Amino acid sequence: MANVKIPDSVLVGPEGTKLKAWGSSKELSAVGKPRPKIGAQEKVTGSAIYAYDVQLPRMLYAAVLSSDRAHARIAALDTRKAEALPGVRAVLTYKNIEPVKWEQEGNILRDTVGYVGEPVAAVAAETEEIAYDAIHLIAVKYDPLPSVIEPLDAMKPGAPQLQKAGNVWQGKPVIYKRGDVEKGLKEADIVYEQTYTTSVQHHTTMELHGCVVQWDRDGLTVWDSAQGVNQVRDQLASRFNLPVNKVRVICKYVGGGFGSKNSAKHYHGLAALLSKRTGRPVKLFNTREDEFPVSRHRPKTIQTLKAGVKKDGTLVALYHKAIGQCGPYLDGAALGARATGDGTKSLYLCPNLMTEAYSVHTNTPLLAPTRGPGDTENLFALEQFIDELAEKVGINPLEFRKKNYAEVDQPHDNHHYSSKGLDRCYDMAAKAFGWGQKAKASAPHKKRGIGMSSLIWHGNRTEKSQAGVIIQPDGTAEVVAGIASLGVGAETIFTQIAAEELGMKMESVGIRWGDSSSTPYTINTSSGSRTTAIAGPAVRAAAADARHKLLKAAARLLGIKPTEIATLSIKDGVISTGDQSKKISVAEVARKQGRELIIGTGHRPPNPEDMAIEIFGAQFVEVEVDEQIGEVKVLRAVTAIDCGRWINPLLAESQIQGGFIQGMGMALSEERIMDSRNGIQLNANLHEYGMPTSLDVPDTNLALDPEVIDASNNINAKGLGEPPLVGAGAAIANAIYNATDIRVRDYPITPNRIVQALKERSSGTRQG
Amino acid sequence: MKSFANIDVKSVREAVTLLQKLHQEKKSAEIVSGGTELLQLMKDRVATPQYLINLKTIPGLNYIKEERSGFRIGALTTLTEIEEHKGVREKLLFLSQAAGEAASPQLRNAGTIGGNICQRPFCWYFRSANFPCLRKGGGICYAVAGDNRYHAILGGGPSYIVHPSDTAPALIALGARIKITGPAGEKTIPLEKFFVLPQVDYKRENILQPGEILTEVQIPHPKPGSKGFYHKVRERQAWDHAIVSVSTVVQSKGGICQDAHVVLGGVAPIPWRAAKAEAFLRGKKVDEGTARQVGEIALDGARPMKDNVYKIGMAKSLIQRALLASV
Repeated sequence: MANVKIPDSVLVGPEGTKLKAWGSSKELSAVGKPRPKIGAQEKVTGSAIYAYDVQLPRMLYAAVLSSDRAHARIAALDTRKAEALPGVRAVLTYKNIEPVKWEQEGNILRDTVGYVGEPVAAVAAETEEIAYDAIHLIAVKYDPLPSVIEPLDAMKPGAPQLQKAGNVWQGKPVIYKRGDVEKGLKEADIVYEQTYTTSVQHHTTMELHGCVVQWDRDGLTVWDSAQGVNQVRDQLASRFNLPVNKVRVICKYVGGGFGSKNSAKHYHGLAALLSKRTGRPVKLFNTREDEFPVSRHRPKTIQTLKAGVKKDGTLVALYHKAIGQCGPYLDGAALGARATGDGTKSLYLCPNLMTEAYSVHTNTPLLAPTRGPGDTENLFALEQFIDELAEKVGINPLEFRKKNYAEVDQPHDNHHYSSKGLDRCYDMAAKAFGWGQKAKASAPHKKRGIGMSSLIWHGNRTEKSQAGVIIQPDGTAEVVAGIASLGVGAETIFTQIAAEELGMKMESVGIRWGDSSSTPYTINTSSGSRTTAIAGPAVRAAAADARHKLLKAAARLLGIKPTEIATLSIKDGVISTGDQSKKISVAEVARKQGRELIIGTGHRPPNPEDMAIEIFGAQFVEVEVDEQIGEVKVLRAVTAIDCGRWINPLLAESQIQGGFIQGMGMALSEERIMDSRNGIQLNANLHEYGMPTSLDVPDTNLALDPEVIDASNNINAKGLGEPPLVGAGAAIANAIYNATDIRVRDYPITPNRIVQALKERSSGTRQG
Repeated sequence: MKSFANIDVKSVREAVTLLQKLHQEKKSAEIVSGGTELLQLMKDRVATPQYLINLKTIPGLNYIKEERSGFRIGALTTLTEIEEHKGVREKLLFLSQAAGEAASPQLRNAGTIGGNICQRPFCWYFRSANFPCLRKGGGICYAVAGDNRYHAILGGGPSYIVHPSDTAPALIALGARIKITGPAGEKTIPLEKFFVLPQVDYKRENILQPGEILTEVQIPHPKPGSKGFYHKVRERQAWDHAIVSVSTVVQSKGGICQDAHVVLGGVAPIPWRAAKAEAFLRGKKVDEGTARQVGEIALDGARPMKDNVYKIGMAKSLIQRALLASV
């Protein structure tokens, strides 16, 4: 990989100064070091306070009655018994709720329901038990409306139409084209087509979705379990028509989000309205069963890929059609049309390419981003397909990928990447894995196999961000950032960035976060693996501003001219001239400043305009398959990810290991099972919805850093939260094929699917 | 969960009397020991008892005793205690394994052997309050035209539930008997006779009458020359029901089978003993050919539905593997 020059535009410092371009992390003192996660001890000892822990005086408990119909009009609704139950303080239904527009479908509670799990009524009561007893006393009579559950059914003529534009979201597919696919296919020596399906994956966060809300004369205060404090605040202010300074969202720790806690959902609105109605604080958390529709999910997809390749393995044409299932409403529907993403468009060099993505409305719960939305579904299909193509032309899958390597970003004017370390990821992961060698299976009826996948995740974000750094009177520094702690460790990373810029020890830098009323607007919500790349540069800019002010104050104290402060530097908390003739500690300067605090503020410079930003990686796995009963064990995984600079290797490894496991779950065991007659989920609990357990996790789950320095921002980072999931599934599927000669193209690859495929092969009804 | 009254009882006698009384008064009651199964059914409002009779407060129902004739295990003994018991590990072939592969560590610490045997059927239609199925007094078995990937391939109809217990098939293969205490006193029956097929009475899963409690499991020492095999197929390695499980005990001499027990789990509304296959095996040399035939015979008569055909091949393979590992 060529060394990329860091543009001056991203290195803007305070008062016309320029920030230093950071070199290798080995040369740095705080960035690139494995600082343990802030709050980790609090979490494991149980002292961390989550929204669920919040208990307020006179607090009421809420419960929500959800629809058990896929599509119906409420013909009659009788709440008298519920209201008469001692301890019940309020019952809200479409009949008595004030008109608050929610999402794009009108009022927050309506007289129709479009999926099983849609809220119908909400109750606030003195205890949780009373609230739940009350919702069971509400009598609802539904008039059924025609419903459709499966996307392919919804696309048939005569299907009930769920939106004005038809059941295809926006009335037409999302299309992308370059070159001429038909022409490319004609030029090809081999044309191959195949269809894959992926299943609904749920977020299954440990902490349930919910909040505690107090609506009083001072406004609305929400103790939330959210991925960010600002987006929820802005949405609540707008929907309730409140001034932004009357809405406060507090969220320090989150027990998991994975994309499901980005925005204000029904439960926020219902809790707020119950609090307004009763004049008391209200706690509303879902039951685990309600979590499945409420948190929403990753769409299931049906994807067809068709390619033309030359005999030498050159890809000349690629066509990708994807059908994704979305809910009946517009909210979240765009996510159903994202499976033809950056993987297909950018990962391989291909002059003739077309993608066609349909998001199809059905009477099923709505979509939410789910760790790696779009690209994950994309690569689960594409990277199996690429392996199949490689086999067709008789080339090793890794060599095939290298042969079709794309140096520039084809869908974006062939821009150069701010960095692309994919080649390095391939090589270092293949070496560490021992690519090409498979070990002997542990029993005669078992087979071993190896497989790999590339991964890609879009990193081109240009949002504004600001942060603050305060030098307290004792000389310690405090970063102030408007984020919630999603759990990936952004707050820890910010202290490292600030410590690096300030020349202070990591231990002397703390952080305040998690409260929309006492922090700047650092990020709307931690989604898209953006927090480090969006907010990190703002934190560095704020620290640079604080440093500049510190140096100016030090210059005064040391008798140095303001024009000569460039001769001063800070190391381990001591400010000194280059020749060490004059020095003063940061603590001393801070003490002399007294209450006149040094407050640094910083903004994120925009991304350079002429660069494409993508995150890349390669994943390798070895599996053992029991061919008689279809059990799959993932023995080891090696993942190398170019996410730019690894600010904190300890946290990066955790992300990669956890992400791989979540991808493994989607590949092998996680699946929403829904009765397609009535839209009722059959496995809406953690017992039957098969998340991997600690016994399923591979013994080796190795994370490798290709040491890429990215040019798009002042900390050289791109983002890591989502990518490790993206390639996991295809790598596992490719390894299963390598072991068994069986291609299971429907995820999850459960024992029944493997046994069925093996049976079809032995009876001759299936090839490969 | 619907509100209920909990009654701690001090003796089996007291529990029996109370259960009888509540039954006569037409009040609904459930027995609770570990409570791990009942809790979920109550949270899902599939079970809505007015009274819970808590057996945990009865002293002396938690024991593992090794005697000359075999083991006696009290109904309140936890699965973890069985899994970790030295004598059980050494002498009862796979019982420790079967207990140890049930559910999750937390559930095994609370769940009891009595409760595990008396588990309600596994079926997502039964376990959802949204489906008024046959078992809950409704008119149809939703699995027939629904998603039946985990349902019964043997002994089904009119209901196609599968029995979820991991220990029951293992215990039947070991020739276990159970003690039932009720208004008429105590009786001991083979565990195999405890379960009721839906075609006999789809409203019940076992023979327990109101006021009767399973109080003890008795397991004879395996005969000399016996080898056991247990395997549970699942989608993940903890906290998962068996898709198919097999428990076999083969007593052989010089490679010739003297006696065999072959019991399948996860395939039928009750732990499924393959009696014809056992009879076929007796007196034969256990080799690949015989093992394959035993598998065929055991699954003869299987009636799969649209989503569970795969279970047949899986069960046959498991039986073969089990028998070949037993000589």
